[in-house]
Formats: sequence, C-alpha cells, structure tokens
Amino acid sequence: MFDKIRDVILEYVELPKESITPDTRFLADMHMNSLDIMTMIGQLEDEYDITIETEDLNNIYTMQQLVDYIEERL
Amino acid sequence: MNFEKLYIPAEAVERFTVLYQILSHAAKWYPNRTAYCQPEGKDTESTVTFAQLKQNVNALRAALVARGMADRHSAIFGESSYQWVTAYLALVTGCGVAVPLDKENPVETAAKQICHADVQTVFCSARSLKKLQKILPECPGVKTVVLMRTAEAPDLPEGVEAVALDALLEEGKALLAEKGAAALPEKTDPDALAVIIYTSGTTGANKGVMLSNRNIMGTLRGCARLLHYPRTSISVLPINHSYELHAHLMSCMYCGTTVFLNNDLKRMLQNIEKFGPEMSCMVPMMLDLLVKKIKKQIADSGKGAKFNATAKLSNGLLKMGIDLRRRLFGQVITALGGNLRMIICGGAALSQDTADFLRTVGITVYNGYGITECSPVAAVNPLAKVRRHSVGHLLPTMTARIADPDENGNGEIQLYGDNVMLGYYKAPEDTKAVFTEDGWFRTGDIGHIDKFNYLYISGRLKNLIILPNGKNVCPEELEQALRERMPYIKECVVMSDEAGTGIYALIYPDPAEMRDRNLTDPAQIKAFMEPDMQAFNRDMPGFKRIADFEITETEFAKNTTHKIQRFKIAAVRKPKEEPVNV
Repeated sequence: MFDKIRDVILEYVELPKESITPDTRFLADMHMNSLDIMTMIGQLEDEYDITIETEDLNNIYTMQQLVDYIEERL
Repeated sequence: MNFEKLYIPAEAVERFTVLYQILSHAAKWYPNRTAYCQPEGKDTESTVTFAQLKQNVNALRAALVARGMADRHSAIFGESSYQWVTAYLALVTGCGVAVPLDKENPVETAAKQICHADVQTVFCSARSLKKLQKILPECPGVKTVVLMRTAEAPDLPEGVEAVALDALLEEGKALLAEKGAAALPEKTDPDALAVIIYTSGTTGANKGVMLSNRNIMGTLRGCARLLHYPRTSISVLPINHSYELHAHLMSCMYCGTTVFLNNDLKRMLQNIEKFGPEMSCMVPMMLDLLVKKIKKQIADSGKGAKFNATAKLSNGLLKMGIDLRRRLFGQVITALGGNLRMIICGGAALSQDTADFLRTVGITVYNGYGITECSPVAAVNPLAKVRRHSVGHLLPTMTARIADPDENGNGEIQLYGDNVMLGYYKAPEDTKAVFTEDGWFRTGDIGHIDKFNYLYISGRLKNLIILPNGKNVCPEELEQALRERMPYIKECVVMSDEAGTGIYALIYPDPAEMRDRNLTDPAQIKAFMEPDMQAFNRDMPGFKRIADFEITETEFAKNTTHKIQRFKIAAVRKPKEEPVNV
C-alpha cells in the first residue's frame, strides 16, 4: 500500500522515489499544496473505494499516518 | 422556431441594472437550456433549466415576502448547488441582504460573521448542518434555518425554526398561482445594499464588503464587453467568493452557459474529465495542477520528444494565424474532458510559463485582476487580445488611475466606477481608510497601465499573503493567533515561501521562558514547540496552516514605531535547501 500511495504522490511532486519514506511529511517535506493533497485524496478514494473525510486530514501529517488511515478503512 | 441559437450582442446587457434582469433574460432566451447540473451521490446528477431557475427564484421570493422574511439579512452556508444560487438570486432581488459564507471557515469565524452581519435567516445545506449546529448557540440573532437539499430537521437551539427550501418553494408556487405578481416583492433598488461578502482585512479582523445590484452589474456589464462565455463551463471555486459568484456564475447566466457545479474539490479533475466543459474560472494553483496532469499524460505515452517538436511547429503556425492546436493536441487534453479551451484566471499571481504551456496545447488563459471590494473584477484579458504578463484590459465600466507613479509609471492602482463597493459593513473607519478624499478606491496594489489600457501588477502595499489558490492570508492575524496560543512566543513573522505554496513562520521565543524550561538549542526549542504547532494547525482552515517553522535567536529588525520590518526578514531568510528527506 505504501508503494501504491507513493506512486500516486509522485504524480504531484517532482522528487526521487527513494526520498519518500514513511516519515516524510506532506507539507513540510514534500511541499505539496492543499489542492494537490485534495486531488490526491480524491484519487485514493477512487482507488480504494473509500471515503476520506476532509476533517480527518487535519490529523494526517506523514505518509505513514495516511497509510494507517486508509488501512483502517479497508 | 428555436430561439436558443439567436446571437445576443453584449450591448444588450448595457441597459440592465439589477441581477433579476439577467435571470429574466436567460429564462427568456434560453428557457429549456440546462442552467446547472450538479452531482447527487456518486454517479447521478440533477439539472435545472433557466426557466425552472427563474420559477424557483420567484417562488422563493413570494414565500419570503409572505412569511415576513424578505427584509432580513440571510446567510447562505454550504457547498455549490443550484439551491444555493436560487437562494442567492432570491435574496438579492428585493428580499433583504444575502451574506454568502465560507463553509470552510472555523466555527468561531463563521459565528462572528453571522453576528456581525446581523443575520436572522441561514440557508444551510445538508452537508454543512453539523457545523451550523455548533455555530448557532453563539448567534442569538438567528431565527430561521432554511434547509437546502434535505428536509430532515436537525436539533436546533430553542427559538430557532427550521424549514425546508423545497417547502418554501411549494408555498411560493401556490402563492404565485393565487396572487400572481402581487405576491412578489417590490422592484429592486439598484443602489440598495444587496450583498455582504466577508474578506480578510489587513487589520486582522474580517471585513464585510457591502455590494449593491449596480456594483455587481458593473462587473457583469464589463465582462460581457470583453468576453463571451462558451456553451458549457465547470464551477470549481468556492461559490461564496465574489469572483466565482459574479465573474463566473452570474456572467454564465447572461451568456446562457450551462454550468456543472463541482461540489467537492477532491473530485475536481474527475468531474472535468466526465463533464468535458469548454471553460472554467480558476486560480493559478489549479492551472498548475492541470499542467502537471497534461505533462504526466505526455510522459506516460512516451511521446515527450514528439510533443516538444509539435509544440514548436504549432506555436510557429499560430504566429502566422494558423491554429491547428485542437487537431495536434486534442489527444493531450482528453484527461481534461477534451473540450477545454478557455480559462479565466484570477485571485493570485499567474506564472506566465503556465499560461504559455496551456496556450500551446490549445487552452487560452484569460488572466484577470479583481478584489472583492470591486464586485470583484477590475480588469481581464479580452477575447480580442491576450497580452502576456498583463492582468488584462480595464473593465469599460470603471475608471482607473495610478497614484504617485515612480519613474517606471508604477504606483498605487485606484479605481472609480459602478463596480466599487458601497463600503464595509458597520466599519466607517475602515471604509474611510480605503477611499481617497475625492472618492477613489485604493486597491493597495502597485502597478501601471499601458497605452492600450492594459493593467500590469508589480507589487502590494499591504502585507497580505496571497496564496496561489486565491486565498488571502493576513500575516498579522496569524501572528497574533500564534502568540495567543503559545504565550512563550515573543515575536513571530508569518510569510509564504518563494513558490507561494505554503505558509511558514519564523519564531523568536522568549529567552527567559526557554531558560526556565532548560531549552537552549534551536533544535530543542523546535521539538518542544512541534506539538503545540500541530494543535494550532488542527484548529485552522487548511489554507492558514503553518507548513513549517524556524526558530531564530535574535529579535527582528524594527522601524522607529517598533513595527517589524518584514521586507528585511524576507531578504535575510535563507533559501530553502533541498530538505526533502527528514
């Protein structure tokens, strides 16, 4: 799942694949903007057929947190 | 006979002074055309025609008059929907004052705005009801909640009545059938207060911009002279923003354009692909996303080199007046529905590279400039001629001047004309501060006007941070909030990064407080502050979150009145070295 999400993220940021680790943060490290994040979430919702509440994003800072969040809902 | 194919000259709008005339115009010339299409659940949509829209607006007006609610200030709270538009149109056409609210605002801000604007009725969508329930206990003035897209009455504080919009529409239709036009409110005064829209102010508090029908028509008339909207469009910006509401939705109504209402930012790209609109109104951040998507499609197809060669050829032909972009790049923009050819861009500074790339693949970006106080458009690049680097031709409905120009002709842009607001609601001092003695509106932006009346922006007088998504962030407001939340912060400065994608804070903690906590090293201090900052971010709307912060061990440079000199900080701040990995 981590690899899958990382592939989706790489559509939005120009970073070397190996630089994205479970601890990488969306805002501070990857410099993703809010629209990139929202669109990425929309893409992940379709991918995994789940709903990710916008409010829940307030508690998701790192790759690992996102992976955990999605795994919980599968 | 099919009247829908008739060409209606832009001049027809010249005689209009109130929004109701635009609605009547659309219902008369394009009665059976779909005005709005909106998603209802995952795979279904609902639509409304222009004739139905007018019928619904009139029914709501009749019901509001009959219930004695037509002189109230009414807030509209929720995602984009044609119910939202129906409520807005009914309110601004003689049924009191409309107060469009940002559904993303924190509860406290929304409550403050509802109280400040003296709101008595709230039109609220099903999705925003939960938030409204938290807001209402702070707003004793609210008497009625009108439920949009639901009929289920929620638990509301005592004394607050709930009524479904659909019930009001039924009631209004019965009244119209019985009494005819007598059930409707009196003729709308074009100069009366019709809308209060909140905007971030430099003083920290939000300010309510008061607009009349004449103000809004100033924007609509000006846009109609410079642009003509195609047959289909998609609405992706928040509907409560003056830019989306007036420059897009209301202007589309005049042109008979069918608008797909995207009600969730998460689904923007999917809906663009599904609906295949010809145009949209966007902010630069969205254009950057489109460019990323197109580039990815090119890369995935492995035709990067071929694309570059074709682009060169196409641009050369374009200079000679031969436009083969649709034929050459039609495939490239299939991910965007395949029809997109026109984007009006505003809200923040646009990168010329982005606009040039989109033009190459056949999507023309019409960059514009506006501010809520000008209802909101002041300039936009016309269909006739897009000038690179310019924010467009000044609207023919207003006059502009440059105050105290420097040797390059740059000075503060000041505006005068129908578009300019009535003032800030209940803030005469703030209103006075933004108007010159001879009545011109001071935009606070620096720029110049060329001999063809095109406007160029070169800077800002105010400290506002304008993010590429068009959201304005007042740094002083965030700095104050940070200091209140973390009293051990002695001084702090909030700014956006070089690319403008996020907000960063530079913090000078109180040295005594840090000593008491045995924290000496900036890295230690940062680690200590991290949880507080995360808690702070959780309470902030997305665009106001602090993406990262740095600790400084020295106080900030100040001027003689002890104000922090921001420009010095921006100059000394180190460019970020690639901090990609933690």
